[in-house]
Amino acid sequence: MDESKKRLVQRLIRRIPTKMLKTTLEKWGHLTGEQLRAMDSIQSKWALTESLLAICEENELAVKHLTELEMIYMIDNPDQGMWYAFQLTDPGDDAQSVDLMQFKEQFKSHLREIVRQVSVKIKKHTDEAVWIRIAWGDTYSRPDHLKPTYVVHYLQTPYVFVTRLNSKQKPILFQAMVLSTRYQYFKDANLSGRNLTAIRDLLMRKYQQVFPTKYPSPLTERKQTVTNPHVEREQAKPAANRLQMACEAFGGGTLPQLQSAVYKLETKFRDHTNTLMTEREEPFRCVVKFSSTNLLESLKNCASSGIASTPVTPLLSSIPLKGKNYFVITDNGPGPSSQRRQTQN
Amino acid sequence: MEGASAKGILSHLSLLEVQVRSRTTQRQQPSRVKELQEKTAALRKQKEQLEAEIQTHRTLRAALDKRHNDDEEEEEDSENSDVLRLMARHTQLKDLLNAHRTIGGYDFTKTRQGKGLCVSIATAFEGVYLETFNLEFDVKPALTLVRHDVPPFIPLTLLIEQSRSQTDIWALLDPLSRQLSAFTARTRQLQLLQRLHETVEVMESNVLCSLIILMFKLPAEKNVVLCSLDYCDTSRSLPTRVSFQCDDKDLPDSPEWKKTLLETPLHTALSTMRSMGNIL
Repeated sequence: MDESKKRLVQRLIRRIPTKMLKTTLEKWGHLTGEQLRAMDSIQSKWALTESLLAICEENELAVKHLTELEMIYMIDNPDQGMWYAFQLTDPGDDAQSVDLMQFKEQFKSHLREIVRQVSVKIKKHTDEAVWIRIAWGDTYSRPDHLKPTYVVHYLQTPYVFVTRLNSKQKPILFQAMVLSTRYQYFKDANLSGRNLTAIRDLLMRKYQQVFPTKYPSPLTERKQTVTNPHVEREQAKPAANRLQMACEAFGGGTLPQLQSAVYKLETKFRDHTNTLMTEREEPFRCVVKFSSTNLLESLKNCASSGIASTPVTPLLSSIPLKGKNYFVITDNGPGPSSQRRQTQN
Repeated sequence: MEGASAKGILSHLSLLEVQVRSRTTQRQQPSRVKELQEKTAALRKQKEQLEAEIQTHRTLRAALDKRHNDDEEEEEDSENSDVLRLMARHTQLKDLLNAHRTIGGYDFTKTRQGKGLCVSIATAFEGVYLETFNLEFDVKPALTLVRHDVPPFIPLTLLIEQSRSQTDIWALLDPLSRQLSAFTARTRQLQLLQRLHETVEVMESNVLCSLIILMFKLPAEKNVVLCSLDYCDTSRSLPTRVSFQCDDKDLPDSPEWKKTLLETPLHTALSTMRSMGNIL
């Protein structure tokens, strides 16, 4: 037991950057003022670990208190690790009236029914998000607190955001979610990214979208280097059109930060000059991946600067429109992905 | 003999090659020149068209000015008066559309040369404009929704199914507008509550604002009361059910409080209750 506590403390100190440690420990509220000041004065990670271990002994803190500390840190800094979005479908009639207490009780009991050894912690954040931390165990071992799964859900919405989940844990989580939210099915929403806020904003439509209305809100001005006034005048209208179409396709203002988009092609090879490839019966399997620090911003820039032709092709505008960044393209057009992606462990 | 004939063939071939080359270059030059000439002709034509338009505008303006200045001008130029009438009607319609938009009606915009339609639904509560939501439709071949910025907890797909809006768009827009207005109204009430009544704590709420649990402090016994507001009908901005939970005894004024909370907006109800001294 002590060994696992030690490893948990080591992991926490390693993960939490020193500058955030103070605020996180304060929020945790299990340290006295003196202990906090002592922790604040230490610089090296090794010393911090030793100090925290000593404090845990002193204050008689258990693993469950440490997992609370981890959760506090995660809730305040959700934009790290990999998050995967899932969607609940076919709500029952009472899905709209599920309240927090109900959801908490039902989720915990359903999960414990399926997996005896599991440690679940549920916390409601101020922005109505329900955060769930699950440490998985099985019949032979206690819950592993070093590899927890975090789940974020907003009640009365169909979306669930999950961090690491292996193939054995997935159906268990799905069943517990479906039963406690009163929906019928759980499926992959084909959207993933490192920023929880970005994928959440994309699916909940919390970012600024631009529509072709008669009274549009003023678009943010782009700083352009003034080249030639004649060129400027000639290009003013086409540039404004391109900007409008780019904004309508991707949004105005700050866009949700996605890191990649993957297109899996299962289409027949098309090239008149290459009969060897076109003669083949099977589709030409190919995967195209776009990567960027801020993918939607890059694509919007491509469209507004004229590199990508406007109106924006539906292949690219589907990313914000459908809230997905994984597409399977067949010859009948982009269809729903029939395969489940392997989420990484 | 062979060498001589080979040389002859080679020289003949090279001669032919030179001829072909000269012919293609010659052909390229004239075709490019022709292209440019056609382009200049087209541009010149466009310039003439624009000049003609400017001219007609000038004559029309002059005629209008003439009519304005010359009161005793009885000679009615029938064409000009028709144009004037049309212009007046146009301004009237624009003002009407503006007024319609100001009072919060749906805003329709034609897009993509008539192939698309964009509808803006404005929401307001107690005289304050709140959020505007937009829906973009494809008009041909049938009315289909292409994109929107309605949040996912509003049952849009359900409303679309129920309305069968292939022919009648109002069957979709009216219920949707009610749901959206009620949603923004409830959110606004909660915001006002948090701003105006700091002693009341919001224990529970959700993104749809359909369930709110508040905690009041009673003045006398320093007890706390938990108040649950259930907005079962999400197309209304007032709750359908109110219930109280208190530590020990029953609350004497609870039927009255229930009535106030069921009938007036949240922040006003709480102001009433506080002014009557019921809660802190």
